Amino acid sequence: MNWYKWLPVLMIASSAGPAIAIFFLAEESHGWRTLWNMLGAVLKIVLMGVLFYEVHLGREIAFHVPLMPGLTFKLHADSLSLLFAGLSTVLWFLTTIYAIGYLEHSPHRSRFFGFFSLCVSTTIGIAMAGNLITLLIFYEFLSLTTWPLVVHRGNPTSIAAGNRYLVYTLGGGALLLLGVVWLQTLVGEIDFVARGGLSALEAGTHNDLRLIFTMLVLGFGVKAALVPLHGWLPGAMVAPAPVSALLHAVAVVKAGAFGIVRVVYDIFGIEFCERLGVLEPLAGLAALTILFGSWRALTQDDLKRRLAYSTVSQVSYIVLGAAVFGPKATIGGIVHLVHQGLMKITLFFCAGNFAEELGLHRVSELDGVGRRMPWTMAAFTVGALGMIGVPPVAGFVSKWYLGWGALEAGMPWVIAVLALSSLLNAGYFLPILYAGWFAERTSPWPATHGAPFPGTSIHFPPDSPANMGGPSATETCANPPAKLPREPLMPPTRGKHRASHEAGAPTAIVFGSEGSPSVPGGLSPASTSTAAWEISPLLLAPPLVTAGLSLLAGIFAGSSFSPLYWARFIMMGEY
Amino acid sequence: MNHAPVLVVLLPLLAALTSLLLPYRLAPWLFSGCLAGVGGLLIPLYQRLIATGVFRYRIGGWGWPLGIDFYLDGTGFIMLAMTWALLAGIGWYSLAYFRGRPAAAHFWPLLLLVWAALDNLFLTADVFNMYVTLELLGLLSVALIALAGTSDAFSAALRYLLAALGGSMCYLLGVAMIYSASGTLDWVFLRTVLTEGPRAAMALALVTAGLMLKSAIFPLHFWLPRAHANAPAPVSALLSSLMVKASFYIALRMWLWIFPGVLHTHVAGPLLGLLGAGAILYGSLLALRQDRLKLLIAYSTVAQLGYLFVFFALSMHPEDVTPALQAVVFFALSHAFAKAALFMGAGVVQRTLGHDSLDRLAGCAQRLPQIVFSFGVAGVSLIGLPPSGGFVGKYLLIDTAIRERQWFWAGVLAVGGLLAGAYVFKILARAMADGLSPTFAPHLASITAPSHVLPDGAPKAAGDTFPAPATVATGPTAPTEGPTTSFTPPTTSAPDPGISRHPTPAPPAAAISAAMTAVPAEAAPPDRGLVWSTWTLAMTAFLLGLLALHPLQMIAIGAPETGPRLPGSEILK
Amino acid sequence: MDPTRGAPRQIPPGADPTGEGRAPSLLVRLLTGVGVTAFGVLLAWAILSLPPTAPGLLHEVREHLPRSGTKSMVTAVLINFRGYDTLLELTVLLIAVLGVFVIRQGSRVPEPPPMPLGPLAREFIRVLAPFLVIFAGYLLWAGGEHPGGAFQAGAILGALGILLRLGGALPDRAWGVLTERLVLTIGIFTFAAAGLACLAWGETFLTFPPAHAGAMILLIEATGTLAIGLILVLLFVGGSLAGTPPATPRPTPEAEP
Repeated sequence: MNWYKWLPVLMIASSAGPAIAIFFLAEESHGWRTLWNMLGAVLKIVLMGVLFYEVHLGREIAFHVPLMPGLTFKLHADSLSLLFAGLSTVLWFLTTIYAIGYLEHSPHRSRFFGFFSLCVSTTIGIAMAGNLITLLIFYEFLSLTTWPLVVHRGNPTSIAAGNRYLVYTLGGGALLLLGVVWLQTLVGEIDFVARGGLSALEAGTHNDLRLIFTMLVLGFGVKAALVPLHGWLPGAMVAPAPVSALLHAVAVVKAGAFGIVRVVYDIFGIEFCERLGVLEPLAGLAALTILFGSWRALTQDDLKRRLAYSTVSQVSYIVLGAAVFGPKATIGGIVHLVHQGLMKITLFFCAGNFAEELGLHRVSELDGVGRRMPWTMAAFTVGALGMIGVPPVAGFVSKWYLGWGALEAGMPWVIAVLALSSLLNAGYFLPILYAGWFAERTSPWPATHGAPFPGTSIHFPPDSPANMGGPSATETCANPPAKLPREPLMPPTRGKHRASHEAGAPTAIVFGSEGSPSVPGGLSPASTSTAAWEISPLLLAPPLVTAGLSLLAGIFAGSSFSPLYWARFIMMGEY
Repeated sequence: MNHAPVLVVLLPLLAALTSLLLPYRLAPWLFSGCLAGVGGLLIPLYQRLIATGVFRYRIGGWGWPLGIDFYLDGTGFIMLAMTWALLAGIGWYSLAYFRGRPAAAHFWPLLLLVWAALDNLFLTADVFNMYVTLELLGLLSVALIALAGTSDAFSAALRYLLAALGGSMCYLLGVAMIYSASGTLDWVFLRTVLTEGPRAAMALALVTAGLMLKSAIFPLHFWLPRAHANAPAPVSALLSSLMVKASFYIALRMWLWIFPGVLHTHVAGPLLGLLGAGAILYGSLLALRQDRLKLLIAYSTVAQLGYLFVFFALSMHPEDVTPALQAVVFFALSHAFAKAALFMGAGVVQRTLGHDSLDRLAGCAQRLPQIVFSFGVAGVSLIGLPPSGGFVGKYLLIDTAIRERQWFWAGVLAVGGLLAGAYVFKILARAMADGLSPTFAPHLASITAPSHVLPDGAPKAAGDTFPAPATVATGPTAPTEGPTTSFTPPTTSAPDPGISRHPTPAPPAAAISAAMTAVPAEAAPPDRGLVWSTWTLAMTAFLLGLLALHPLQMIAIGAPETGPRLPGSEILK
Repeated sequence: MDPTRGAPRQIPPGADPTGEGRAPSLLVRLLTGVGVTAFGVLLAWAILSLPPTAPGLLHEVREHLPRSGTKSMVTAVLINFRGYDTLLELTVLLIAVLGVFVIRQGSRVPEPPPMPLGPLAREFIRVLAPFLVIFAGYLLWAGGEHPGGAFQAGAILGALGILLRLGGALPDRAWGVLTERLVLTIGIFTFAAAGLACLAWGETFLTFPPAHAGAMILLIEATGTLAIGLILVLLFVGGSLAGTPPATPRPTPEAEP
């Protein structure tokens, strides 16, 4: 019995089902919501494991159902699908834990987690799409499910960011739709096959195909934040940190890059692309994006925006890997999909922790944070070093392969781009590391955990216990233990502060001021740390795990369990 | 011998008459009985269609060319099924909407008559019979719009009446010309009997002009926005989803089945397509400029009807018009569900918030989460995003356009989707905005005063603020949030057109340009029936794309190039 | 009749809140004029180019007339060959009345009956009324061979009703609600029942067996006359003349604008 063909459907359902259930939950049912969330996440991991096992056994996993006359909805699990789906599954699990901790006491959590789960379903759908129309369906759907998360806070900045996001994604989607329909009028159903299926088309259609390629790449490129279509990404950082972390640093931009990879390898075929001559312009665009993103990141003071521009830059490595004709470059691009995901999500988790715990949103405020929150800073360091390309973190491996591949393909200018980009990365990451670890704190923390009023701060002398990261006097006296019921102990603290920063509003402290996600009626400091930790374990564990994974992926790159091995495996099918 | 075709029409008709004789309370029961009955009758029709293809039913036994026949093909059946499903949803909604209101006594008979008329239209093979149906639908629309009882509604209804009469006149003239030229009125056979030529073109032009007036195709759309916006919510849903499709259906039959040759000249098609493109552009841009929710949705109808007319530009090769036909019928189908859901949701918003002004929708997503969700998914179908029915329709239309190398129309369709996205997300963004934000001037103290009514004859000066109506957050949202909005006398929003019972004394001194009896925001959450019926129709529109295959195949049964059978070959009693 | 009479007055007379009282701009008028003129010219040309005689279906009508149950071609076409259209037309008339009811929002005619006429007029009406009834009956009967039939007879009955109303003989609460509604709908009911009876006889809808066709046509026309007469009267009066108001629901207190 062909039961395993249902696995892709089950994987999508494993988060779509909880999403629907969560939508109907009342706002106060924390327990049920957490249960559904974790159930979905764990189930997905289990299914992922089963899927890997079945594929390892050599089974062909494909699910199709006819959609329209001449079009089929097809889900399959080939190696590239598994790479992306595996990444999304693991990262979703971690982000769910993070989000539960981050959003404690925020309003509209049912709505949030409902759409959040739907986003992950959609991403898995994109990963497992077996043909172009299915990919298009899930890709467009992703725009829909991410919009409510961008505008989650409901203040004017979020709404404006959401509008901008829509203009870009819907516009890109329209272009993509035209390209897909055109291609399908030429060849009929377009399944994803290794090496692509278009090389048999006659030469007369080649101009059309070039145009179609451009349309498809631009359509996918909006989400992949290719310059000049990247304008939505920095603005979308007003979303809560879990959204920025998973979606806008991993799922959405990766979906765009994934789409481009599918187009190049599994629709057109890399060799056919080379014949058409579309690879060089693509490489040029990717290079432009890499440099532009890194350059813009230098000038950003807001930490999340700096990371956003860094994402713009880093995701184009994947596109660059696709655009350079050669097996090594392919490996480099595809493996960077995983590596960049791990490293970037670490960075975003840490940025969220800084904002949540200390109210830090700007790079200029990060002096001395390494002493307050050493573990978070350590995770951030690992991620940053990986971005720069320092061994043994995983980022080095992908850059190495990209460079090697460029050399083999006879495109030495790519190496120059890579080197320059690494320099720029260093230029905007190293100062953060320096400030965090070595700089002396001269100004007070904007909103210390446990301050009686937001806006005031307690100045800790450098050697006070508070700055050592240990239990502080204010912490113990001002923090009720974690399990007290919500009483209006003090005015809303960092939650509001974080929100007002992310909303861009001035930090006027008025009860119920703009951008506050807090519920009138006060809240007690949530996610209170016990004495030993700098921040709630829910918020600390995920970045540590992902940082560790980035390290492991780099150190054990040669082993057969690493993403690199998997990417090599994928590459071999494509040439 | 199967009498289902005529029973499908008679059942609602007789039920309507019966509901006039019985106490009004029984009318919903009669309606439900009709739903069951007609639904049951559709099944044998479906089976017959699948098994043997198109078939006829002779009324009066005279047959072609003297009598009136009923003729069922795939397109007709899809329209019948669509009518049934939409009326089920609208009926469910109306049950809650009109509960306890005197308008209910008038509403149900009229609704049943609409149903009978629509079923008749989709079954009949006689163009004069179609004229009678158009008259029926026109007068029914006027009566239904007037149910709102406001003078806005009356003036809109009167304007519609004049437009409808003008349209019917044109149509009748066209039919008269057809009859005098061919001696028959049966559209299935007209193609074989009618000779092409300028006279045919003139008749077709007359008919089309009339139908354009009735389906509000740009630039003859002037009556639609106010008519749909001022009618009671279930009536707006009915009008926008079904009535406008009726005249388009006739146009479809005329152009594809009766006069395909006119399309061959490659002049008429692009002309109609240009009008359609104009409708899309004009309707969408005007929709964006509206500040009333119902007017926005009404202008959106104007825009979406333009899509239907772009189809004519794509069907210039009638040898293979089937894919385009499938696309446009399916598009009409999914639009009907989506638009009905939007109007129904707007009705709930108006009932609950007391207004439908877009600028004061903040906090709506908290108070009416399921309704805003319905707006979202129905809007998705209008934009044409997967997996909605609108996506399938749009995809197939663009596919046809690209296959015929009509890049302009493909672009028009794509841009139309983007414009629809603009106004759909305008609604959603306003609704998702946080009602607590100071930009939207919250009142944090919730007042539990019941509905506040203006004392008769004492208008408040503009600028006074009424105390915030009682708004205890209800439903599945958190009780700790009590969003209220400050409430200045609106000058743009209209009073709830659900009813108006007695004439209220006019407020003196018309300093207020649109003085209104104060509309209290209802303190209670909206009726579950209202919310769930809206949600169901919206989800149907949203998921219709996944169920598209079979309806699309059905539409192909009886498509034009299969040609009419010879007279008498498949006629059945 | 002003259709907004009786409607809630919300705009003071003379106000123009939606700006519709403004004359359209010169450009709009010019375009409309050009469009309408062009359309008219085309229309005139098309109609003039029609053949002078068009046989239509005259031949078929003559051929089937003996089996139709009546000797008048008009009646045969109206009630038998194209009877279904007539059924729907009766429905149209009914809807017109229902629409008037809707605008009234309830069946009470708010304005008082018109001023009573002088004694001479009253006597005249008293003499005329029975004659009109007979005349209507004659027209109904004559429809079988000569011009006549349900619509003409119904018009006469309608005229009778108007005269009675003007003469003050038709008060506001002339009959019961159920009676009024029954008479309004009886035309359509009978027509449909006749058609359904044909189903019982094994034919399709409205296929009158030639043996009974004459009687059925007469029955349909008779009930149609009554219905049409009443409809015309009510349209003139502008509302229902029924006695007790129909069972409209008491408004629940909070469900109100």
